[in-house]
Amino acid sequence: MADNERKLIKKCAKGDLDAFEDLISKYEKKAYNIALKILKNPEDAMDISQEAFIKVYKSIKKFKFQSSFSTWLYRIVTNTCMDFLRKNKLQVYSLDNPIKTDDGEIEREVKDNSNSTEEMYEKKMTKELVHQSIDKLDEIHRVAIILRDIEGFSYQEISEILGCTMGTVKSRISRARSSLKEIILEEMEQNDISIV
Amino acid sequence: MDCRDFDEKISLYIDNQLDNIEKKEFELHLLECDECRKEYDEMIKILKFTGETEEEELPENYKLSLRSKLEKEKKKEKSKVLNWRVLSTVAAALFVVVVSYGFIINNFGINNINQQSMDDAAPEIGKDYSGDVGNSQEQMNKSMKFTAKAKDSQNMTLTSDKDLANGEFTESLRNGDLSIENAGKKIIKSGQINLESTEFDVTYDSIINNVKNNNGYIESSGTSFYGHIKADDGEQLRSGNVFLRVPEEKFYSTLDFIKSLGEVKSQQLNERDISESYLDTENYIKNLEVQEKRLREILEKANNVDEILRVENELRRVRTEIDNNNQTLKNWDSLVNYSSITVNILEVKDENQVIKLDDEGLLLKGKKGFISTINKLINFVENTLVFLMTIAPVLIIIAIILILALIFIRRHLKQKQ
Ligand SMILES: [Zn+2]
Repeated sequence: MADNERKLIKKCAKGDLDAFEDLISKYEKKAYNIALKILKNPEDAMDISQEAFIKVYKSIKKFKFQSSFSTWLYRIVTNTCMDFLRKNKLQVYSLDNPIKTDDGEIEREVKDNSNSTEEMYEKKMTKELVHQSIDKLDEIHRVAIILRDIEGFSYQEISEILGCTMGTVKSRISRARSSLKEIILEEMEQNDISIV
Repeated sequence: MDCRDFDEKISLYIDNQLDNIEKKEFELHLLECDECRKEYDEMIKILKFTGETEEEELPENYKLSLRSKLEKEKKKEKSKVLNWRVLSTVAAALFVVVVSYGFIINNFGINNINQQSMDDAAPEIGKDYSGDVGNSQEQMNKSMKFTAKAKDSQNMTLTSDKDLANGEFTESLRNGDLSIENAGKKIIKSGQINLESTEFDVTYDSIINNVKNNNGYIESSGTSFYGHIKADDGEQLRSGNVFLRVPEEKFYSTLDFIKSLGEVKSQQLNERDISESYLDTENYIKNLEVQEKRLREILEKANNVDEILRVENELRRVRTEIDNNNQTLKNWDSLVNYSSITVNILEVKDENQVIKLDDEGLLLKGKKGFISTINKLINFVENTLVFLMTIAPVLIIIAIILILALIFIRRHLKQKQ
C-alpha cells in the first residue's frame, strides 16, 4: 500500500472529511459502476454506493492494513448492494423484464439494409444482448461476471472481496460464464441473431 | 480430455488458471474437436463484449451529496461521543449519591421498620427490571426459556402448513407399511430453513461438518455482513447461506440437526414426484434409439450423396436429442438421490432474546407482578420520603456535590465547543 494512502487512512480515522474525500476519490467511479451493474438502476446505485462509503468512513478505524484498502472498500460496496437486493427482492424481479418486442422489430428493419451496415448493426445488437443477458443472471453469478469480466479484478482480489476461497471463486466464475453463455445463445436463437 | 472436461475448463483456461499439463491437454483438444472449438470461440466473443462495457460517469451531484451525508454522519458521531461524556458524568454523580446513601444507612442506623420494608421492595423491583438479584435471576431464566418454547411451537404452525403436512405425510409413508409402494418412485426432496443464531461460526461450521459426515456436499455457500455495526465491539453482524446436498435417506435427519442449531424462523419442505416425467423421458429415449437404428439402416442403403447427407443430418439431430434427454435423466437421478437444503443463517445479538409477553399465563403473572410491584413501589416512595426528611441535613451535602458535578459538566461542554 502506498505510504500516502496509509497516511490518509490514519487521518480519516481521526474524522478528517477532506482526507476521506481524497482517499476515496480514486475508487468512487468504480464503486459506483459496480453498484450500477449489480443494482441495474442509477438512483439505487448512487444511494447504495454512498451508503457503502459512509460505512467505510464509520469503520475506517477498524481497518487493519492487512488487506489492500481497495479490496476492503469494494467488499463493503458489494455487500451493501447484495444486502439491498435481498431486502428488495420482489421489486428487483419486476425490473428484470427484458425488452423483447423491441428486438424483434429492429431485427426486421435490419434485413432491408445492405450487408455491411447489417453486420455493424448486428454486432451492436450482440453487445447489447450480452449486457441484457448479464442482467438476467442471478445475483451471485452476476456479481462474479461484473467483478471478473467487466471490472477486471484478479481471482485473488475477488476472493477477498467476496470473502470466499479461490476454489469457490474459480467455480463461481466458470459457472457464471457458462450460464451467461446459455442465456445469450437462447436469446439469439429466439431473435434469430448469430454471433458476429 | 473429453468434451465435458473441456467445457468445464474453458473459463479457467481463458484466465490462465490451469496448470501446465491441463493447459496442454486443453489445447490439444481444442485442435482436435470442432464442436469444442466453436464453444470456445463463442465464449471468447461473449467475454470480449462483456469487457467492452463503458464506465459510466459519476452523477453530477454525487460528490456533493456524499459530502453532505458524511457531514451529517460526523455530527451524529460527535454528539454520540458528547452524550457519552455527559452520561458518564451523571452516572458518576449518581454513584456518589448511592454510596453515601449506603454509608448513611450503615453508620446512622436509620429506623428498623423502614429498612426492612425497603429491603423487601428491592428484590421485587429487581425481578421485574434488572434481574440482578439472585433468586429472581433464576425465575427470569425460566420465563425466558418458556417464551422461547412458545415461540418455537408458534413457528411450526406458521410455516407453510401445506408443505409441512405433505412432508409429514410422506415421512409416515416412508416409515409405514406403504413404503413398498413408494420404493420405485422418483421423488425430489428439497427444504429451506431460515435460522437465527447467536453463535454464527459454530452454527455455520456444524452444518458443514454434518454434511460432510453424512456424505453430502456443499454446492455453494457464502457469508456477508448486514445491517449496522454492533455498537460494543465494532463487529458487524453476518448473514450466511449454505446450499447443500445430502443423500436422500439423510434428508430428514439433516433437517432436524440443522433446526437444532438455532432458532428456526421459518422452514419449508417440498417433495416433488417426478416418476411420471421420468418414465416418459425414458420411453422417449427408447423411441429415439429405435429411430436412430432405423436411420442407420437407411444410411447403409443410401445411394447418393444428397441422401447420405440428409440422413446423417437427421442422425445427428436424433443423437443430440438422446444425449440431452440422458443428461436430463442424469440430473434427475442426482436430484432424487441427493436432496437439497438451503439454509439461511442470520447472526443475531444475544440481547435480541428479550422477553416477549406472548403467552397468556405469562401475561397474567406479569400483571400480578406489576401490581404488586406498584404497591411496593408506593410503599417504597412513602418510606423514602420519611427517610429523606430524616436525613435532610446529609442531603444538603449531596446537593452540593451534585451542583459541583453539573458545573464540571458545563465547563467540559464549553471546552469542547
Ligand atoms: Zn470436444
